[in-house]
Formats: sequence, C-alpha cells, structure tokens
Amino acid sequence: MVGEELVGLTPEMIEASQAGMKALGAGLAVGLTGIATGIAEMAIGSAAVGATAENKDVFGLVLLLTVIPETIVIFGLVVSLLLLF
Amino acid sequence: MLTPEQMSKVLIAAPRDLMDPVITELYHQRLFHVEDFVENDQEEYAGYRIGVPLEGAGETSKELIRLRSVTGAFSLRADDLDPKAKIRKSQLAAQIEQELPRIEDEVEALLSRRMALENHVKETEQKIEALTPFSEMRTDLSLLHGYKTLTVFAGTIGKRIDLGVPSEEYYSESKKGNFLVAVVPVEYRQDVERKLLDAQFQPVPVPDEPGPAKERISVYNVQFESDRKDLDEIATQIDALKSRHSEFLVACDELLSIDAEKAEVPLRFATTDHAFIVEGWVPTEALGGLIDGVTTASGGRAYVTMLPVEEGKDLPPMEYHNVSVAKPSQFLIDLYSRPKYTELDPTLIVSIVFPIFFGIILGDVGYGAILLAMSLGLRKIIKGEEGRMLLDVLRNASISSIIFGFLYSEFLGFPIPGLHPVLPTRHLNIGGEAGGHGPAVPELMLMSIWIGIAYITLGRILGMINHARQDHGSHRTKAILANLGWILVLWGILFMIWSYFAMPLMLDFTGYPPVVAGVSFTTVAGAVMVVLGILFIARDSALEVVELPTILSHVLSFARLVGVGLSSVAIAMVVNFIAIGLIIEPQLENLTIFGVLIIIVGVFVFLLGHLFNAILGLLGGGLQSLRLNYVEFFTKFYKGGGKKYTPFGMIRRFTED
Amino acid sequence: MAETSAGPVPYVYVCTRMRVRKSKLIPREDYLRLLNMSIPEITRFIEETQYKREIDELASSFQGIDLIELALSWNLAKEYQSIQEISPGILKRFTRSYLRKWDIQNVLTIFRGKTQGMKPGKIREILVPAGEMDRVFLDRLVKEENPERILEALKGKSVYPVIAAGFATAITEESFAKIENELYKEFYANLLSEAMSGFKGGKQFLEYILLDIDMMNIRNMFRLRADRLLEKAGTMMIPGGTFSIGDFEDLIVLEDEKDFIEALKSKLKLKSLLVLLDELSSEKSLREIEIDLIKVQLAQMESLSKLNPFSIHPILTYLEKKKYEIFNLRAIARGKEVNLPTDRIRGYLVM
Repeated sequence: MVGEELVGLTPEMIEASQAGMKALGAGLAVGLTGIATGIAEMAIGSAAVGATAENKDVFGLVLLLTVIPETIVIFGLVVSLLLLF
Repeated sequence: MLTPEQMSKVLIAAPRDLMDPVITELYHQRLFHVEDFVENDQEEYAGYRIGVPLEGAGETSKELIRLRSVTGAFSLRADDLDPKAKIRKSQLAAQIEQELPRIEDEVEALLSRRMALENHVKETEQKIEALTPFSEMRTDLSLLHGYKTLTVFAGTIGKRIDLGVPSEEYYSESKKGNFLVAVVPVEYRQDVERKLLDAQFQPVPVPDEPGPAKERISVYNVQFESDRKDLDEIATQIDALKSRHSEFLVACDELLSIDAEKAEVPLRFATTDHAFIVEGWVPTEALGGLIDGVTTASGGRAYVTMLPVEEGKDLPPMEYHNVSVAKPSQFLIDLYSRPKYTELDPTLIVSIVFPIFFGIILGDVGYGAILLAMSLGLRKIIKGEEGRMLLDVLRNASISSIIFGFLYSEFLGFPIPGLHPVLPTRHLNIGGEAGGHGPAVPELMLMSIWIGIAYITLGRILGMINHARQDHGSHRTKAILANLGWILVLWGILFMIWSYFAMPLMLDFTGYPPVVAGVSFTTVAGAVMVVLGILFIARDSALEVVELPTILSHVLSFARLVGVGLSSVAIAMVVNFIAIGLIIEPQLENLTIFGVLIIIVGVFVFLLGHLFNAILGLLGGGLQSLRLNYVEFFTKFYKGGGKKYTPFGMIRRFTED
Repeated sequence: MAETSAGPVPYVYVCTRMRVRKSKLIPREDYLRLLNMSIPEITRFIEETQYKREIDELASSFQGIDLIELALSWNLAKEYQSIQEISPGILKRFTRSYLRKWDIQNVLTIFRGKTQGMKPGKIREILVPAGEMDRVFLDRLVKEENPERILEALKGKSVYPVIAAGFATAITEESFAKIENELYKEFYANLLSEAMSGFKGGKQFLEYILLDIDMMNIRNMFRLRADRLLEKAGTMMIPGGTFSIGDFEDLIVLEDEKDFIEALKSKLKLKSLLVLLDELSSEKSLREIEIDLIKVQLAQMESLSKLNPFSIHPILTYLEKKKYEIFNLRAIARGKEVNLPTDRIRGYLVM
C-alpha cells in the first residue's frame, strides 16, 4: 500500500522528493521540447543551407527562418523556470 | 516618418536624335528610376518597339569582355579596393586606348598558355590512366595495332578462359581486375568475341603509343611534372601583374561599365523610327530639377511632364525616408522585404524596439561592452554599405545592452556591487553562494507578457491604418474592423483573466462586486469584447477564426525575452563558478608553483567561456529580437514586396568627369 | 545499399538549391531585350549573370560567336556536373542515368561532324560534356582521324555495343539516324528498368520518363508526317510510353490533319496537351508546333515538381529549363551572326 510506504518518511524527505520531482519535470520540459525543436529545424536548416549555397544574400533571412521553431523549446524553458522558481 | 519618400511619375518624350543628350543628363542626375517598357498590347503604345542600344555599345561591350577576362583571372573585385584618388575620365580614356591593350595582351598570353597547359595536364593524366592496365606488359604497344589478318582484344575479364583458337595472349591478375590481351587471327574473331562476352569481358582501347607501356608512363610523368612547374611559374607572374595594375583596371571597368549602361538604356525605352518615350519615377522633391535639366539638355525640344498616378495600376518604387538614427535599421527591414510604397514603413519603430529587446535579453554591462568594442573594431574590416548598417545596428544594440546591464545590475554574470537592480533580478543560485531567493521569474514573465500585449496591440493599430490607406469600399471597413476585432479579443481575454486572478504587475479586477449571475462587471465586459471581436474577424474572413489561438501563442512568445536572457545569465554564472569557484579560488588559499599554472588555466577558462557566451548572446539576442519583430509584430500589419528605388546612374568610386 | 538510405533532409537541401537556381534563369523580358543586342553586348550581358566564369575564362582565347557558343556549352556542362555532385543517394543515380542522353548526343555530333568534314574546333563548341564522358575524353574523340578510330576509343563505354552493331551500315549509308534511334531506345529502356527496379522515389522518376517518351513520340510523329517518311515508321518509335507500335503506325498514316489530331487526342490524357492540340491550327509551322510541345512539357514538369517538391522532379525540371535557356541564347547568337531579322529569331525561342 502506498500509505504504508509513506509511513517511514519524514516531512523533510517528502519535501526533498517533491523538489526532485520538480527538477525532473523541469528537465523533461526543456529536454523534450529541445528534441522537438531539433526535428522541426532539421528540414528548415537543410533548405536554408541549400538556399545560401546558391545565393549568399539570403543568409540573414534563412538564419531567421531556421530559428522559428525555437518557440517550442522556449515554451519548455519557460515552463521549467516557472516550475523551479 | 513612417512613410516613404514621395514619388512622382514622369514621362519623357523626344525626337530620336536627342537620345544621347537626354540619357547623359539622366545618368548625371541619378534620380530617374526607369520603368522598363514591355512590348504588349497597351493601346497608347501601339507601334512602339523596344529600343536598340546606342552606337558604340558593341565596341564598349567587346572592350569590357576583354577587360573582365583579365580582372576575372586576377579575381579582382572593386569592393575589395579602397579608391585612393579618382582618375579623370579624359585621362583614363587615353590610357584605355594605349595602355590597356598592352596589359590585356600580356595577361591573355599568360592565360592561354595556362589553359593549354591545364588541358595538357588533363590529357596526360588520361593517357597515363589508359596505359596503366598495360603497364606490366613488356610488349611494344605499337605492335598491337594495324593488322589486316589479326584482331587484338584488350580488356578486363572475370577469369581466364581457354579461347580454343590459335592465339598469343598476355594475362595478369590484380585486385582491380584481371586483364587480358589476346591477338587472334581475324577469321576467329566472332567466335572469340562470343566466348569473351560470356566471361564478362570489358574491352578497353589499346593506346596508340610507341614502346612498352611502362616506359611511356614514365615519359608522361616527366611531362606532367614539368607542366606543373610551368603552371606555378605562370601563377606567380599573374600575381605580379595583378598587384601592379589592379587599381587601373578597376577604374577602366567602372568607366566602361558606365558607358555600357548608358548605351544600353534604350533597351528599356519605347521607340519608333523618329521618337522615343520613357516613363519613370522621380522623388517629388527633385521633380523640378529633373524637368529643368532635361529641358536644358535637349534645347527645349524634349517633352517632359508629370503623369497622374493611377492607383492600383502604378506601383511606385520605394525609397526610405527616415531620420538618420533610424537609417541603419533599414537593413533589417530589407532583410525581410522592402515595404510597398503605399504601406507604413516600420523602420523607425524597429530601430527603437530592436535594441530594447536585445537589451532585455542580453542585459549585461560586460557583454555589452565586448560587443560594442567588436562593432567599432569591425568597421575597419567590413566595408560596403550593408555591412556598415549591420555594424551600426549592432552598436545601438550593444549600447542598449549596457544600459539594461545597469538596470539588471549585471556584469559578466556578477551582480554589480552596491547597485540595486531596478528591474526584477535575474541572478540564479549557482555555485557555492547558493542562497537568496533566486531570479524573480514570475515578475520577469509578466513584464515580458506586458511588452507582448503592448507590441501586438500596436501592430494591430498599424494594421488598421494600413488597411485604411490601401483598401477601398466595403473591404476597407471590414478589414479595419477585423483588426479592431483582434485587439478586442486580446483585451477581452485579459479582462476576464484579471477578474479571477490577482497577479503582480497586472491589473487587479478581482475586487469588483458581481452584477449578473455571480459574475462581475469586468468579466461581462471582457466576454462582450471577445464575442464582438470574433464577429468582426469572422465578417472579414471566416477562416481567420481558426487563427484565434495565435493570440495566446504570440503573446506568450514574448516570454523568450526572459527565457533566452536567463539562459545567458545561467551560462555566465556557470563559467564564473567553474573558473573562479572551482579552479582559481582553491589554489589561492595555498599558493604553489603548480597552483599558478592552474590559475592561468582558470583565467583561460574564464575568458573563453565568456567569449563563447558573448557570441551566443549576440546570436540569441539578435535573432530572437528580430524574430519577435518579424513574426509576432510584422504579421499583424506588414506585407512588404515593394519595388526598390534604383535610379539610373552609378556612384563613381574610381573615376570622375 | 547506402544510396537508398538518404533521408528527406538531403532532398530538401538539393531541391531548394534547384529552386533557387531556377529563379536565376533568364526571364522572358530579358530575352526580348537580348534580341535587340549585338553579339558582344549579349556576351557581356550574360557575363553579368550566371555565365561570368566561363566567359571570363574563355575570352582570352576566343571571341565573337565562338566565345558565346563555347561558354554556353561549358556552362551547361558545369551546371549538370555540379548537380550530379550534390544530388543525394538514389537521386544522384537517376540524374546520372538521365544525363547519359548527352553522351548519345555528343558521340553522334562527333560522328556526324567528322563524316561531314567539320572543323574540330566547331565540333567542340557544340559538345556538352555533361554525361559520363568528360571534356578531355570528348576532345580526344574529336582529334581522332577517322570514324573507325573513334569507335575504337569508345570501347568500354556504355554506348559502344549499339554503335558497334550498326556502325558498318551507318558508314555505307552515310546516316547515323538508325544508330541514334537505337541508342535512344536503349537509353529509355534502361531508364524505365531503373525506375521500375523498386528504388524509393522511382515512381516519380517513372512518371517523368513516361512523359518524356510520349512527348518525344508525338514530336516524332509530327516530324515524320511533315517529311512524309511514313514507311517503317514504327521502328522510329520509342516503346514504353502511352503508344504501342501499332498505334504509332496507325496514327502516322492518317491523311487528314484533323483526323490525326482527333485520333491522337483520343490516346492522351494530359489536359494541357489536349488544350494545345485543340487550338492547333494548320498554319503553324513544324517548328512552332515543336516549341509549343516543349512548352507543354515544361509546364507539366513544373506542376509535377510542385506536386512532389522533394523528389527527382525539381532536379529534372531545372535541368530541362536550363537546357532551353542555353538553346535560346544559342539561337539568338546564331541568328545575330547571320543577321536574321529579330522576329525570325524570336520564333525559335522557348520562352
């Protein structure tokens, strides 16, 4: 039973495990969204490099297009910051 | 301010013999943006054809082709040179007649020798390649040719087979494949061919060479080496010529290019046998000067007039008209797309907001100073107009970064001693001195969200203005109301949230008493705004309603101002902790010689880490701020796609009249 | 096989590059201006666009029409080679196979030029070393004294067996048309079997090859009818497409132009082609019809490459469009050289 397992825990231990869970959640939020951003940027990035190879003038613009999916990981970062602080 | 340079449409019509003086005058003024004439079924241009280039255009082009083959061989580019003194046109023209052909001859001789040598090298390579399979065979290769009664087979083969006919064979095995040369009487030819085909025989040509293959290969190798040496020699000679003549050649190119451009502009005119017409655009300020100039140049025989601008049909070219502080930001706008003539030009807004966003993200006195020094230092290296503009943008951004650094009280991740931050603190609990309450994340978040709300509302207001300026009829009202609708939905949602949750930095509506069914007045007002807003949006385009969630995501997207900023602070503090807390400080307690070495390593880590973080901050801060402008702000009102104003004429850098 | 494992990312990369390159091709308005220029001006004009390197390099040794012709060939070859280099995995293989077409064309140009006694320099100008055989190899072929030596030098190349088989007849008949036809048949048969051998992306390649074969057959029908070469016409057909040999022979002998068009239409499905055939009036010359057909084919390729933006289609579309840019520039330059009136030259352009 869950209750029985909790019997041996002090309040400090519970607090510590809560903090640990928070940190874990924050880590997952950044990590998983980071992977998602990477996947999204994959195709954009290769198109961007292709376009720049032919026409150097578009470098700035394609660099910008490449970072558009970064919103995903930034949302993850925001969530994890709110979790931690 | 937010509008472009005003343009007037001008038509010039003149007898054909005046083409030369009119073109010269237009070129000299560098104000007239030529509207290319396209042959199609326009009524008023019936009977007009595209013009032909002025006389001498062919000669000029011929000269230019020769000249550019020389500059091309030197890989010489005008942008890489700083003009020392301008050469006078008359003087240069004489030099072009005499000196230029001499230089060209000299270079061309070298180039054609180089080309011949390069071809020879390639041929030699191929010959060596063709000879390689025969290299182990000692027979004279000339003995494998020219028989009437014998057939020679040479090629790779799967495995050795018995040909079953009288023959003389050479066979060798190697990793690359087994090689067979067989000489058989001609009458067995078909028989042998069939057998060889079954054994996967791939024929190769027999080289037409005197002597055994090995001997020939070494002969060719010697040739190959000497050719290479000659090529190196030519390269040094070309370099010498380049350093001697580059400035002169660039000036010639400029002069001839000007001549060519002038001579070919009639290709953009509408002409008949006796007259020509050209339409174009001139900044309204300069209109009088242009008309006077052309009239004088043509002795009053050219007809120059201002045409009325037909809305919807004519699209004037766009030239920025900004205060000088905002000018560098035009680069950022052009990167996205040049504004249409009829559209609001957001340069001024971006020139203010971009540095602020950059500062909010990278608010650090240390990094700001590094980037400022970089932007000033790079001015010596980066030339050209666009590069300069970019550096100016960087300079403004780094100044803003320093200012925000003081507001945050940050210097390379350290708090500035004695300076209490004005803005919510961003210091994290990293390293030994854990304690304090960490960064004020909720306050920072809410601050960034306020910025988002304000900026997006501004975008929508600009959208209303743009539609009011550009659209007509019922569409105009609908489009304006739709933009208003977006504002209403945004603020309606905010009203409702504020009615239920009290948050720092936000308005607090929770205190109002309920009026209807337990719901407060502000909630009702919020709900009405949302419904009304959605109605307005749907009336313009029902599909747009699907986009409603973007309200939330676009506002929240401004949280990157905090998120990216905090990660930059975090890296800075980690660098400090590793370099000082973990490497340097323990050594200082008990100094040894070995410890000094480790301290040096620590300093190195410190510098490298912060340099890395400064570059990361530049990229992160720059790109994310730009993105907030492009994606979250511009999509609300800005289309772009304007035509760039490119007046006929060239800025002379190396020559003068 | 490593070749087939290339994922979507290299496809995106290459197809984007092709689209950027396509956008740099010379637009219609510029052709209209080029028509009013003289040869040096045209040379300079293209020197300021994508042909800078070739013109700069060759201008020291050539001039006038020779300079343009050679620069165009070199540029086309360079472009094709670079596309082969950057294409990933299986697309590289498809592109390479498709570009073998140029081997056929180059070898035949050399044979024909040699038997007609053209100067080696002139032959060299119109060779496009885009296939398996490179410039140096082709140069060697051009330098050989007689057709027999050329044949000997071709040993080991993929075109060798077909040419060797028909060589004796071709020399006695003084016509390489049969060899040409056989080479194309073999070329398309190879392409078809490669496209159908189950590689990923083969389906799109097949779609394109079938289009190409059909268009080629239709063009041949018009040509054969115009020249009244109706006997044994079936051997001129390239099998594998919509038409069977029977169809081809039945269609080609129809006396009345209208009947022919109607019968042709009943076999075809492509909408833009049907529209073209509908509007085809009898006044159009063979040349104009051919250009219209090319335009239809290019438009169809364009829509295929929009349908499959990351496949072989964008690559092939660019290859073809670039080819016609070269054709156009060559037509203008040659027209200018012999002082053809502008309107006549304009009739030869695919815009």
